[in-house]
Amino acid sequence: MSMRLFVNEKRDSAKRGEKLLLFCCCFLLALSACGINEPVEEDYFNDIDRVKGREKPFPAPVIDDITATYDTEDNVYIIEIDFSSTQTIDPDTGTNEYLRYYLYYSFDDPAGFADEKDYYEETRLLGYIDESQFETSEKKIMLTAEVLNRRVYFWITAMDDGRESDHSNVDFIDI
Amino acid sequence: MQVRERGNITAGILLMLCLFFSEAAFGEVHSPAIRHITVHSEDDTSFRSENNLFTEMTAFDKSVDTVSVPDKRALLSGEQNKKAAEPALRKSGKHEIEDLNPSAGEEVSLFMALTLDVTVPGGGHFYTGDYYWGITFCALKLLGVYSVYYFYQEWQFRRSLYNSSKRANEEMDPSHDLEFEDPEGGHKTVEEFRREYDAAAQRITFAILATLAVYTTSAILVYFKVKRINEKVIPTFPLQVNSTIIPDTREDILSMGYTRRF
Repeated sequence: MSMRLFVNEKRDSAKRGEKLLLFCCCFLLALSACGINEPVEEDYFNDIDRVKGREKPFPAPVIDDITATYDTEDNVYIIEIDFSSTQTIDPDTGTNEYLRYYLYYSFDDPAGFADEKDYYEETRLLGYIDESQFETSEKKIMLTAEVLNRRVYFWITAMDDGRESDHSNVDFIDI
Repeated sequence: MQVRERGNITAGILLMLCLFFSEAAFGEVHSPAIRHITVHSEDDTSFRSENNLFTEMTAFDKSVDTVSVPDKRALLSGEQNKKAAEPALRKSGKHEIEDLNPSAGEEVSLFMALTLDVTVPGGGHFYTGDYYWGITFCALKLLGVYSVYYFYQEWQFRRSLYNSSKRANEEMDPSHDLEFEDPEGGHKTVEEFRREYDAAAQRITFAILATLAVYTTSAILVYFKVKRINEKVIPTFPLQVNSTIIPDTREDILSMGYTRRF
């Protein structure tokens, strides 16, 4: 009886080994089915067609003026940013129809930024407005701010579907 | 082997060892060359003289005789001892003491086993006759080697994407984080390509470590298997057991013997 048991154990062991081998073969097949990608060339992305948004909006927006009016009822400042002279367009479409304008701010003078990329940090983004929201040729942004007793710097960029333009001139106001 | 038989043999071995070391109390030297050892009941009332005991045993089964344990000195004399033991051996009948030749296995080369294990998936285990582990490690090693190859290719691919995107971003627009078209779909920034490159490096590292672990485990198992096989190569000799039941006297007599040659 014990001899029979020993034989059965060997048979079961061999079966388990075969199952494992079968599983590994299936896994290998699945891996190979995933496909192995070949490395790309060094200048693979040096193609404007592979960049999201392709060409960036040009030229950069221009801030004409920033004014602040104090509202005595709410004790807030109403700030108006005028950039009507902006001629930014999307070179890919030739129009500014689908542009979006981003408004940035800073309490520090941006001239002191260590990196040009600091102009486009999300932490400095106040908000945005689409070109389609302007009913006339006037481009103005209105916002409210509490009394801060300090200087606030503003600048604007234009975004198409993926590319952001260079930043506009920096203007400031004391509120 | 039945449990009862195993129990009997174990008890017999222990008793044998006790008797061997206290032979003055139980045994009697019949000749300088041979010691006769008999097993009998501890109850003195049922004890019979050696001759009577054997007479009774003989009456029951005349072919059964005592088991002789040759003396060490006698062993050295070789033939003399063999001839002295032969009559005892020949007298045995129903419960025979077989004069078996020593069994010995074949040695397995450790170097060959380890070399095969490294070069051929599962080779070491197949070489030692362990087919289950052979199949298992064959599968694991193939999987490990292929996974290393696969993840290495992927790592190269991710690295090329990261380097290419980084170079293009610096050339096209260094002040912005551009989004590039990913060959696998979607768009990614240079930072995102870098993270994928790091992840691929991690995966290949784990694949290499796992494959090394499989190879190491396999080699260790092969090593111990070969060691076990080679240990068993030493010639072994059977243990001889005789069990006799005398219904008249209600006695179960177990006698054992072993022969060790070296």
